[in-house]
Amino acid sequence: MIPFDRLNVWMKPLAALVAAALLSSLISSCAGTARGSRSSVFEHDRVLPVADLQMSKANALVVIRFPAIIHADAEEPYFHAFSINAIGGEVPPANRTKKVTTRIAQSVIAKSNYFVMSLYRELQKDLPENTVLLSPHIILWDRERGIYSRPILASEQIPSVVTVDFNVYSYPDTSALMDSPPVTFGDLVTPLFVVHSDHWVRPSTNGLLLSSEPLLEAAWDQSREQTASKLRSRLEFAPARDQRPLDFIAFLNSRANPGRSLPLKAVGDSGRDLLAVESYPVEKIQMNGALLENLSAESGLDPFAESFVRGAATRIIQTLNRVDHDRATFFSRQSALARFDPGLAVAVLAQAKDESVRARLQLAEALIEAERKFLAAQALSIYDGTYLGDYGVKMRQMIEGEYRLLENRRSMARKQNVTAAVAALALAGSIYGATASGAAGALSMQSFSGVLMLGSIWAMSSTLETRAESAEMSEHFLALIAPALERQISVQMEWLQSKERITAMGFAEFRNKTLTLYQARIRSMEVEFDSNCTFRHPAFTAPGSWYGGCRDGLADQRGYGVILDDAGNWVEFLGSAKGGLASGIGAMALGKSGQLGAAYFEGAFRDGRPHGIVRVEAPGEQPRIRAYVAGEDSGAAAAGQWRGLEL
Amino acid sequence: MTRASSLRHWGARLLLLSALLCGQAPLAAAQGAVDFERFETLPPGEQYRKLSLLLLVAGGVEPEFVEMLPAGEIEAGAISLELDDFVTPLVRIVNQEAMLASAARLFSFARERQPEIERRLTAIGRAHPILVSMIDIDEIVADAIIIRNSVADSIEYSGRVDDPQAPARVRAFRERTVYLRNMMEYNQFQKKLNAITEQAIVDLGGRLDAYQRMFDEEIDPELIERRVRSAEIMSAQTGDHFDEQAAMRTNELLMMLILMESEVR
Repeated sequence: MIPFDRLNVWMKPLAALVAAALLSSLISSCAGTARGSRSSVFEHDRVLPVADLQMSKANALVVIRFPAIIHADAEEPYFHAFSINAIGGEVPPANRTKKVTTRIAQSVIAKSNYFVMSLYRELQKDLPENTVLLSPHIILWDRERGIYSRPILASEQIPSVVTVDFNVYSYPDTSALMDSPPVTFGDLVTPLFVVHSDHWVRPSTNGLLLSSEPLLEAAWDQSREQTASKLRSRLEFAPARDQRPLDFIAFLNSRANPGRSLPLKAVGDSGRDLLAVESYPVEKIQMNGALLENLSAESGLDPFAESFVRGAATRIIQTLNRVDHDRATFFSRQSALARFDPGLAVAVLAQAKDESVRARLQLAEALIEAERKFLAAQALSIYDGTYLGDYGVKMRQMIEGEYRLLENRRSMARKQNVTAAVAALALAGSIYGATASGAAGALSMQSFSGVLMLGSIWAMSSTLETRAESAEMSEHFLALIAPALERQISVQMEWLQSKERITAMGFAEFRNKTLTLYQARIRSMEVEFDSNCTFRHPAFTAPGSWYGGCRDGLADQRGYGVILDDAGNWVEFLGSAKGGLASGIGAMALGKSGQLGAAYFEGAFRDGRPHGIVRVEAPGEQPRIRAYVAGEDSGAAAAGQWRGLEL
Repeated sequence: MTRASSLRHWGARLLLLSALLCGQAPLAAAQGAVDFERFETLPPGEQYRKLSLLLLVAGGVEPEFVEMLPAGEIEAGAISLELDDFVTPLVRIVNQEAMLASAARLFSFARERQPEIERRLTAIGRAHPILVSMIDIDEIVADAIIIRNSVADSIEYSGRVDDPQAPARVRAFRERTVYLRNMMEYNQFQKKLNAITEQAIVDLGGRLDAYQRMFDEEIDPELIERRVRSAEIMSAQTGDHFDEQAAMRTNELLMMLILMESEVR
């Protein structure tokens, strides 16, 4: 047995250590509940200038989609889905129907409207004029589809290199706030973020480039379904009708499909060339409090930009610099053209180089460019009305109020934790004393039963109370703020709905005028395409559709071919063909039913198979340059020997 | 077409008509159809127009195409056409040889002196920016298209070109002309489209601004602030209430502790 005196000597520093550990753990466990990360994973991305090397000036670079308003019929299903599919935990059934949960669901829409404007402004500042568009969505519901969303402006009809889905998030259950779930309240913001493009830009992930972790499954499914829908439309020579709902709404509408190992990589992973979706963890960002103190008085301050948006915008610009813009927009340009000139859309798919096609395409692209300018002006007007206008002022007041409330709570928690830690240490000492010596223990009890014991009990009861208080205070605050929030949401909805009506009217008038001008000015094209031409692939028995040169009813010369069989397997080819099969330089995407992502081959083909030097892209792998003989991989090849498809 | 240019065309027509009727050509015109000295006698705006026209007419012409045309000095007695003469209808009925020879001289001059022509255009643009800004480029392009078509037609009608490559070269020349026409049409389309777009943005902006004003007037701007303040005060009171409750419980516990300690003692 260790003598008491010796024990006392080495117990002193230990006691100090225990005290420090207790103090820090208590402070972090309680005060940390209402804290977030001060820096985002995007923060360290280096700012790069934008390299806009696209051939077409019709394209936008970024379209930002966000939940803006909700239809009255969709409110209840949305609230229900919001409470069931919570991010960061499971809401107990009893708490799902609480009024506060609906308030939080509403606040997600209201605050997304506000915070998305930071991202818009930052991207608009760095990218060429009129190349960033906003696409506010209305949340709807019907019995067949459940909750879904549709855009209220025509921004998504403009071809864009990337599309960003953005919203903020708050955990639905306030009683769980002490367990540190994701919230957007006061200085805390939890952004959810998806970046996707056309599937052709990266067939291995169906065009999905980056996604917040919780939305990954829904975003993946949406990208896959969107690809399938486009392929079906082109197979049937029908216009594309698919309208992708917001990935967040799709997430709420459908339970995740776990068990799939999607090709993923971490955000900022050094292996960025890997053909996988960047997985963005849920981050509860803590904005700089100093900037929030006078937020309502100084509208120029943007704490969210400092803590998250700048990094995220840089990440988007890096993506823009890495992807091939022409490849990203080839099919969306074709879809945009098909809306008002289906003949020209076919000629574009056929990659016709005739001067009559070029001249007509130039006029058509000028028309899309004009629409882009118009919609960019609308986006700016939404920004002005939302961020700089009345709504922005109110939101800043509200965020500032929330921040003050949180700060009070934190201050209270800090005081309590210090007391609790000291008291706990005192208790530890008293127990030790009681064990070592009854007399000493009695003495200790006597001494501690004064101020320190009082403190420890006070601290413990107060801590217990604080847990309840936190939940109730938050609930109280939300309940009190609710009429204002509700009014604000309804006013914003009214504003956006009227704006939609006015804009739609204005846009319809504008489109009518520009189309009349276009139809009056275009000349006939000197090329014709047989719509009854067959494209084939050796692995498919079903014939496909071909847009392009034709000889004896079979694909010939340049063009685009697509096959989609009943099992869900598909092949898509853009390039030269002979006798109905891919032959010459081209690019082919191959998707197999049940497989995640498609394989992509670009380079030389013969008899429908890769033959020569080919660039190969597969899910979860890095792109490789390989030599192929009649569809068989015969080894590595030098990049200098490779000849890719020129769009 | 401006009044000045129609007058010029009428003058050229008269000149050509007299040449055709009398069988004599003005020798001075034959010897000095294209040179910078003649341009320098013209006002700056006209110089700019003619030099631009010359470049557009000769744009994309390959050396082989020029070689295909009759070369050398224009024979005495033959007429030589000036640039603007090509846009008159009468050019179609003059001697094909003379017309092609004049075209060859124009093309050669433009090709050989292109840097100097461009330098002069830049200098005029800098010295007379307002004047140059008022020049209608579409009109110049329209003239260039007429001239190029006249030349291409003349080659085909003349039948003197034996070169087997001639049809392909003429086709390429015509394709460049079609490209020029398409560019002109695109510019015209773009101008109209820009006007419609600007107007639509202004119109819609006005409507939305009017709505925004109505919207701002309709709501009480201090409503949210009052709500936020009330919420904060009530939250603080709630907090105080919790403090009181906690203090009461502590007292209860203390009382129990005191009683317990009392019992122990």
